Amino acid sequence: METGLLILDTLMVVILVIAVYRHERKPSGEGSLGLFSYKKSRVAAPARPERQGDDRA
Amino acid sequence: MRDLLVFASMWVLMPLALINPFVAFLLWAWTAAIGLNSYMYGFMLAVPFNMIFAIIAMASILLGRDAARLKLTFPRTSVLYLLLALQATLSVVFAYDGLPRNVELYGNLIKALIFCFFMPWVLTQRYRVHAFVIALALGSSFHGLVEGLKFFASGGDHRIQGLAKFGDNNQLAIVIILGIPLLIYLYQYSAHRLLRLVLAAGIVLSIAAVIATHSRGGFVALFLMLLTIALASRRKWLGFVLIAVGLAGAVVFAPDSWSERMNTIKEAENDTSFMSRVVAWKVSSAIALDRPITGGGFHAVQSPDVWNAYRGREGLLAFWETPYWPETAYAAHSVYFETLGDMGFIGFFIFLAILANAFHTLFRVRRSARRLGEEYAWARDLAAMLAASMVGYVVGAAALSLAYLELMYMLVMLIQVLWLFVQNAETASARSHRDDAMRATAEG
Repeated sequence: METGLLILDTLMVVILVIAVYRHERKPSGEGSLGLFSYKKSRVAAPARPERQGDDRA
Repeated sequence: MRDLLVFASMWVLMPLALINPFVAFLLWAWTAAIGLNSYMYGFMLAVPFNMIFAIIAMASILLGRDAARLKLTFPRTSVLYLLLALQATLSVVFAYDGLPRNVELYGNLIKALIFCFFMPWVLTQRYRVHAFVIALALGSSFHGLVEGLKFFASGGDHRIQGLAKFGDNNQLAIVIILGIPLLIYLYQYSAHRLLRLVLAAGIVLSIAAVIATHSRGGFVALFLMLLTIALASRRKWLGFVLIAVGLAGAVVFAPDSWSERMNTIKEAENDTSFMSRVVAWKVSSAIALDRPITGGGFHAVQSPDVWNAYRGREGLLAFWETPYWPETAYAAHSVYFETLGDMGFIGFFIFLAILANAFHTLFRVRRSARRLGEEYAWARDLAAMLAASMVGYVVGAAALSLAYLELMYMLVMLIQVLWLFVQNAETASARSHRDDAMRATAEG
């Protein structure tokens, strides 16, 4: 059981870093991280294209 | 088997980390939170995963290879961490002789703080914050998932003993509690239904794991953490009802041994385990009174020589009668007395300042995010979850030695990062309003 979960956890990390890598190379829209995509707000779906640069600037 | 599979995964993770500094940073966070070596038994046991990803991330970020332009900012939390690092260095140098874990704990703390210094430099966009929370949740919640599943599979008989990286059952309970709010945040904001199902299962299993620890402090911290989430929620009454149902379920379905253990909470004054902690607090505060500037060094109270030297000293707790003194050295069993004994009054006050600053910043983030509207609702919701984690920590760790828990320092710096987001958004919004007003005046 522990081995199975460890494999699942590691696999999810692999999926996450591939999604991040792809997103950093070619942003495909805000919140678009494959399996780990997020909603812009709790009620709305991802919508507008990704901006480049620092969100905090 | 698991060694081979982790080895195979490194063939994907390592090249990506070398190509992309942010990926290396995420893997640095994940390996720190999961303690991968604790789960290895074969040839991968000795591989320093965390150190490898840390070196790759630090080198590539400092060399300017990150996609985000490196801006070396030192917000208030970074300054407090720097002060803590300086004080810790003073303590480790002037520690009592022969402390077995002095250098090891100092090293762990410094490594955690170095990671945190990088956080404001790297977490510059929302998707990066989201990915970071996922990496942290995948690492820190793994322990809850494993132990929660064992708890259900054994019909409630499984009793958690702890994990080498974090300590005993009580300490592991707090680590699991810190991760639960992150899972709830991800559940709220994840777009994929399948992932939301996995996260919901993770939340239930993590709560079950805390029960399986049989930790009284863990149970109180869990209750207060959930209460904080309910209070910050938009549907408070639903939260209160869920907590009441969960509590009733725990009392009805948890094993008798758990109920018996929880019943001893109200008999703390007669409890040997609790009174031994009070003695350890007396010794820790007595060390601080003798060495207010440097403290005794990391976990000085656990050294038999130091313990015997301070035997019978009441420290700051003379008003609290303790019927007996344990013969063998006892851990500080409180983050507050731990920092007091280890790093003296200066270290203690810096530690308190870090916690106070975290709560103050959380308050400011929520207030600013509310002003900014729905676009920054994510920051407000994440701040609410981080507040719940911090409540779990300050309550649960009040009776545990967990002052140098890396995850706590990461969460506090994440609060600071959120503040940078909302602060900059407010500044940009104010500038935009001013420009509009000036344009209107010029046209008028």
